[in-house]
Amino acid sequence: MKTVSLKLRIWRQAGPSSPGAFQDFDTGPLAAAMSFLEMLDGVNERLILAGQEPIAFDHDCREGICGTCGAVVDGQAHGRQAGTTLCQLSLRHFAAGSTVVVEPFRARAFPLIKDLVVDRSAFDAIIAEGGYVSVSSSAAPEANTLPVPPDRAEEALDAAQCIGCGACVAACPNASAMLFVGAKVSHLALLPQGDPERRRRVVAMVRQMDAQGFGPCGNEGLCERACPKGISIRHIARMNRELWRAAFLARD
Amino acid sequence: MTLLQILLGSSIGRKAVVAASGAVLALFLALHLAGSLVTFLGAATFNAYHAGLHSLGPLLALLELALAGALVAHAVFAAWLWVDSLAARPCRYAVPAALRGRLSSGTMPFTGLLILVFLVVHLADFRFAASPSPLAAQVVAALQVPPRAAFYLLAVAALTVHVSHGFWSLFQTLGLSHPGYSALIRQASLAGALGTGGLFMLIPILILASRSFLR
Ligand code: SF4
Ligand code: FES
Repeated sequence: MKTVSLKLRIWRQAGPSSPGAFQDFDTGPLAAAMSFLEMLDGVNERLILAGQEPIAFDHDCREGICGTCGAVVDGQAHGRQAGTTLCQLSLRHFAAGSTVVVEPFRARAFPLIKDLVVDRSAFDAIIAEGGYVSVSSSAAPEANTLPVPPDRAEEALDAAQCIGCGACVAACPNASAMLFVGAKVSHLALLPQGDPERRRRVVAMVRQMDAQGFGPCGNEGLCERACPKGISIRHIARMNRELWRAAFLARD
Repeated sequence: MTLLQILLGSSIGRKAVVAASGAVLALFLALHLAGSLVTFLGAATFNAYHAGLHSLGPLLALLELALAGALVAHAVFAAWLWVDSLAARPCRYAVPAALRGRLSSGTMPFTGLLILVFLVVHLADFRFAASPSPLAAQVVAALQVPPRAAFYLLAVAALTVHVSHGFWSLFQTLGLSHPGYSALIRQASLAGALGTGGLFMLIPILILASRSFLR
């Protein structure tokens, strides 16, 4: 069985206003097939047995679909393996004996709660402004009565892959949330179910995005390279287009 | 939200002001390049072109005013966005980012500032200089001084880098990009910036290197 041992430098911070610092850990030999979060579980078990405070980190599904996990590993959100979330990162991608630095996502709009856990409810506030469609829930129409051209459906599904993890914000030099909001606006603007509310939606979501303290987009494209779901910045261009559409055709 | 509320009140609107004014400035840059290339036709033709330009009178003044407006809007809104972006990440990362953008995108505020300083020098040299000699002689007099020529070259290099990101970026911001042609815009942006920068650079280089150019 292939094993790796790593030197971890992990950000520890007891609470939002306490001072933080890196703490070093030697993992000892671990199976290379282990996931990054399993490794953290192991470190935490040792900490608990030693009567110390375990490292706080967010996780839920552990299969790359819920968007709960996330940290900046060696200078990259979700680690340097492309197209995966932190929970999908496995130890085989690390050189044995290397030092691995783990930091929380850093953004004014994502205040730190503890250790590697940040508060991403700013995303929820944006979704609450329009990341939904209003439908009457009584008799559901037959699905095929709504014509959707296949390329439009594909494009909407590409945007819908966003899991709201926040890596785009973490990777952006300006801590901008444009990729996330672009994905949500695009997803719904492309489909007939989202069409009736599209003007109101883009204006309200962009306004909330700014109010939450995310930075402006610099078109650098680092977000799409950090995104575990490969969301393209063309969705940002579409959101911009949606905003101009709403501004020039404003009725509501 | 009205259009004005969007332009001033949202980050995307502020970006659009930078993009639209940048488009005006890019258009001017292309015209300026065409004018500068007249230097290759000799001092007499260049001076005649300069006189022709000034015979436009009030029309020229109007164009200059519009240009100044675009420049002020571009600089003020870009500075505003820069301040906003610095505030959005109060706490930096300990490890330098593993993902890096192109050289051009991360340096926009700095290349922009250098261009602004250059503009002051450049306008003082040729636009507001109270010199009785014809423009060709003024250009030669200013650019045959090596430190000044070096500063011009540096500024044009900054302009090249700035435009190579800015031109592509404006399509993205105004929502005009599209998978069908955004790769083309990116390439055209780079090629256009390199071509423009290279041609502008030729002028001080030739003035320094050749005894007959523009004399
Ligand atoms: S766009 Fe990508 S990086 Fe950003 S929240 Fe969605 S999935 Fe995460
Ligand atoms: S824990 Fe669900 S995506 Fe990582």
